[in-house]
Order: sequence, then C-alpha cells, then structure tokens
Amino acid sequence: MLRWALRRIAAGVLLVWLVATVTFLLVSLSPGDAASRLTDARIPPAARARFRHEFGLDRPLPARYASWLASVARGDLGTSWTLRRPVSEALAEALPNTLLLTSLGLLLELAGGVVLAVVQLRRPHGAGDRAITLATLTAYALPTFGVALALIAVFSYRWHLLPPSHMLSLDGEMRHGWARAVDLARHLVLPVAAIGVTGVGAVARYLRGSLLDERTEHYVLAARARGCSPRQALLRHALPNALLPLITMVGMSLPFLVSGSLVVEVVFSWPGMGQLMYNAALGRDLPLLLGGTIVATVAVVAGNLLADAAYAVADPRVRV
Amino acid sequence: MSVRRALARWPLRLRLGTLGLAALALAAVAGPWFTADPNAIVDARAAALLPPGATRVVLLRRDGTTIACEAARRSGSEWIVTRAGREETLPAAEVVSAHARRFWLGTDTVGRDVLARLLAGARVSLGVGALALAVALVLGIGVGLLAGWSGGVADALLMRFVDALLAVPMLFLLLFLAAVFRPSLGVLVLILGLSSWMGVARLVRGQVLSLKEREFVLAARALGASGWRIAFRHLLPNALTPIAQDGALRLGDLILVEAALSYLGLGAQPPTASWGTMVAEGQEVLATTWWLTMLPTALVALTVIAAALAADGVQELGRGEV
Repeated sequence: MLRWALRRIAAGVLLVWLVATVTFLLVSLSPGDAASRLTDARIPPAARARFRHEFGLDRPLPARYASWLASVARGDLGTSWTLRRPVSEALAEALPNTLLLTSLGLLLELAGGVVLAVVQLRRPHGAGDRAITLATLTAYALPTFGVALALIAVFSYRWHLLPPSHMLSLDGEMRHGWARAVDLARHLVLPVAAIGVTGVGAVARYLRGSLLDERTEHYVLAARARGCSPRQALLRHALPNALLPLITMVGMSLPFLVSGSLVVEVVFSWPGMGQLMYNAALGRDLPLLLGGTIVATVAVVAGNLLADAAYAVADPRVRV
Repeated sequence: MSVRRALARWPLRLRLGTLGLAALALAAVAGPWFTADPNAIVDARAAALLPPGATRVVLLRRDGTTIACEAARRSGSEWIVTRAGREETLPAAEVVSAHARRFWLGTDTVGRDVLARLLAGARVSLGVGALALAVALVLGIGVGLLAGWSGGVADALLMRFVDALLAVPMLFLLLFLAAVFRPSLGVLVLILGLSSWMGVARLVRGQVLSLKEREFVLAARALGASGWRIAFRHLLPNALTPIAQDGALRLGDLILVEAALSYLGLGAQPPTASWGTMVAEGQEVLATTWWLTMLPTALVALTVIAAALAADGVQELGRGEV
C-alpha cells in the first residue's frame, strides 16, 4: 500500500511538472506575450523597459524557466499582472468559495441521481421510469448557462425570491453570525441548483444502467431466493455495488470541483476560481492563468489518488 | 441486406436520434439559404426586440441600410412611414424597395432577425462540433490502433501520455489557449478536438487488445495481410459499435463545450452567430424578452438529446447483435 501510494505520488508530481512546463512554454512562446500589453504607443519606452525588467521578461528563456520553476516549487506563483498582487494570495482567496459551491453542487447531483435511479428501478420500463428517463436526459442535455439564466429569470426577476448574483449582499460583509450565514445560504441556492440540475442527469442515467445490470447478477438473485424483498435486494445488495463505480466518477469529476463551475461562477458573479481564471483569460493575465492551471492540476492528481484509495477501501476485491 | 431492412432493425431511440440530428443538420445547411442575412441590422431603433411573429414594412434605402416601420404609404414624391410610433417622411428617391416582412421569431437587442441567426448559429455550433469530433476521432483511432496493435513499450508510453492528458483540467487549459491564441472558429475546432481525443484512444486500444487475439485476426495475419489491411478491414469494422456510441455522446459534449466557450466570449466572436453567443447577447434583456436566451438554449439541448438518443440506440443495436 505504501509503495503503491509513493509511486502514485511520484507519478503525480511528474504530471504536475509536465503540465506546468507545457503551459509555461505555451505562455513564453505564444505570439505577443506580455509585450502585447505594452504595444500602446503612448507608453514611454522607459516604462516599458521597467515593466519587462520588473517581471523578468528581459532574461533568456532557460533562465526564466529555471527561476520560475524554483519559485513555483517554493509555492511562489508570481505576481498577477491585472490584480497587481501575489497569484497564490488571489487563488487562496478564491479556492474556498469554489469548493463550497461545487461540493454542495456535487452532493446535490449525487443524492438526486441516486434517489431518481432507485425510484426508476422500482418499476423498470414503467410509466414513472420512462418519465424520469426523459427528464434526466433533458437535464443532461441542457447547457449550464441556460439553466442558470432560467433560474435567475424565474426566481430572481419574476418572483424576487432569491438574489441573482454574488456571494453576499452589499451589506453582507457587515453582518455577522446567523444573519451572515442566512445571507450566504440565500446566495448559494440558485448556483448550487444550476450545478445540481445539469449534473443530476448524468449520474441518474449512469446509475440506472448499472442498477439494471446488477439486478440480474447472481448475488442479487440469491438474495431474492433467500427471501429478501425486491426493495431490500435493490437497496441493500444491488445499490452498494452499483455505487462503487460512482467513486471513480466522483474522482474523475474532481477537476470539476476546482474548475467545472466556471460557467456558473461567471453567470452568478461568484468570487471563485472559475471567475478568477475567466477574468485572467480575458485580461491575458498569464501568471494568474499559469498558477490557476497548476493548482487545478494538483487538485486533479490528488483527487484521482484519493478516489483510487477510496475504491480500494470500499471494494475488498481491489488490492493495491 | 437492403438499406430499408437495415433501417427497420434499428431501435426506436436510434431512429429518433439520427432523425433529430439529420433534421438539425439539414436546417443548418439549408436554412441560411432561405433566410435573410443573419448579421444584417434591420433597424436598430424601430425593429429591436420585436416579439415572435411581428410584421414590419422594411424599406431598403439607396445607401444599403434598411428601416422598419409599422406602416408605410407612398404619396407623390414621398414615403410617409410610421416608425416606432412616430410619423416620418422620406423622399421617394431615397427608397429602393419596400416590402412587408414577418419576423417569425422576432428580433434581438440590435434589431437582427432571430430565426436567421438561430439557423446561422446551427451552422457554427454543429459545424464546430462535427469538425472537432472528426479531429478527435482521427487522432484517437490512430493512437488507439497504434498502441493496441504494437503493444509493449510503445503502448505503455502512449497510454501514460493519454492518462496524463486526461488528468489535465481541460476547462482551464481551454481558457488558457483561448487567451493565448485569438479565438477563431478554426482555433476553436482544434482546441476542442485536441482536448477530447484521449477517450477515443483508450476505447479503441481496448477494442484492439480484445480483438487482436481472435481467430479471424490471427487467420488474416497468417494469410500475410498487412497491418493496414488488418486495421481497416478487420479491427475497425468490428469495433464500430462502441466507437459510434462514444462518438455520438462526444458530439453532444463538444457542442455543449462550444456553446459554453462561445457564451463566455472565448469561442465564436461577434457578429458571428452561434447559439452560445446568442445567449450572451440576449442575457441583458433576460427579465423581459426571455426567449432570446431560451431559444438557443433549447436548440443546444435538443441537439445533445438527439446525440444521446443515437448513442443509446447504437448501444442497444450492438447488444442485439451479440
């Protein structure tokens, strides 16, 4: 187990280094890098030179790469061009907001998916099953931004029930304790619902398929022969096994935990990683983009590792 | 077996899905021939945000611009028009032509025909999706065949490479690439295709591994068939069902990602109509003219539903054959 973990961690570090290097090269070799921000003729040459020197752009590429890699290894991701502050600081501020939003969204889509699939399996191919199949197919096919905008149109603009954007009200920073929590919760409802609605389709569709397959497996038939009710056989015997692959699915969707809510964050002006990276892309803020990509890659690698470990724990047949 | 007999064996979902995709593709290809210029601003002042089904008299002026009015009549050397509720007069010499025009789905915020833009957007969304899928299929099938057939070190190296790419947070990379390169439709196709071939490669490799030890492949090898011949005459045709199923699902995913990127302003660039950009343009009037955002959203969903139905149907068909 320890050897396995060490090997996986080494492979993960290698991967992070590879991604970091490739993105660094993409940035450095792309036409009109930081200089494109300085092509404005009104900027005096002296200021331009000072900028280049300040950000170390006047040094040769290998030297830049070496010093950049050394500082990344120390956890220093450089200074954002647009925010004029350390990249790591901006990311550390945004990451918890994103994790809050996406973990709730993921929880909603998993819980919703399990409930829907189990309800469908009570009478497979019946009217209820068909109706839910159609609903989950539609949910899977809807673009996230469309769902988010529809929710805003109905719940914010028409019924004035919930706020359409941001994480706290204008005076939210001044509130404390309970009032602040309620304010945050009200702002969370719509974005979490947008994530949940678009994600629940995939989970339910997948789980329904694997439950249908599990139902005819010998161990389920044996449970039925021993006198288990259909309901017990489904919930106690088939469901745990059908849920196993979902661990991998969740592991695969961990990049989503960090980056996948991007569209939702942009629509709802949620101050998380997605919006930060989006603004960085619009402003061609390359240090911030680089730093965010590295952090997200680390999260993905760690997530896959955790998912595999969790799988080994949950499924005694898997030995690592 | 005749085509008709083959079609009759298709499961309902496959028929529905392919029919839907074919109808959308037909609308995308042929639609723009029958509708007006999707980028033409009919009248920014008097024809903005018209409701679906609205009719206006459109006067074409000598300088090529148009104006829209509720009513127009000619009296002597002048046109007397009612434009946005007010009467105006135009010298007749300035007007080239006048005709009534119905805006079946209304107009957008700057007075462009929504139906024409939706059809032009179908071209962009479906076209980018299909081309990106083609890129992903060519790369994925190539790498998958190579890895699965050669085995050994080449296989291990290629698959580690694929695993590494699968672990990259693609959305950030897409943002990154869109920021580094100027977004254009060609770049969009490449970015989407290059970021989604890994799944195809894994799938094809797995198929090749399971097929290459089967008797008919061994027989072909014993008869001295070349690697190319075995790959294209024996391996690929037998792996067609899972590839087709995966491809249909992937098409839906690619169309969703294209729509999201275009919505974010990192895909198709204005004034090019794409379903994603249309949602972004209609967003500012979401509270009143909600259909400007919901029509393109619905079209994206319909396309993805058709693709998913086709994928389910292909799977069902494959299961029936085994």
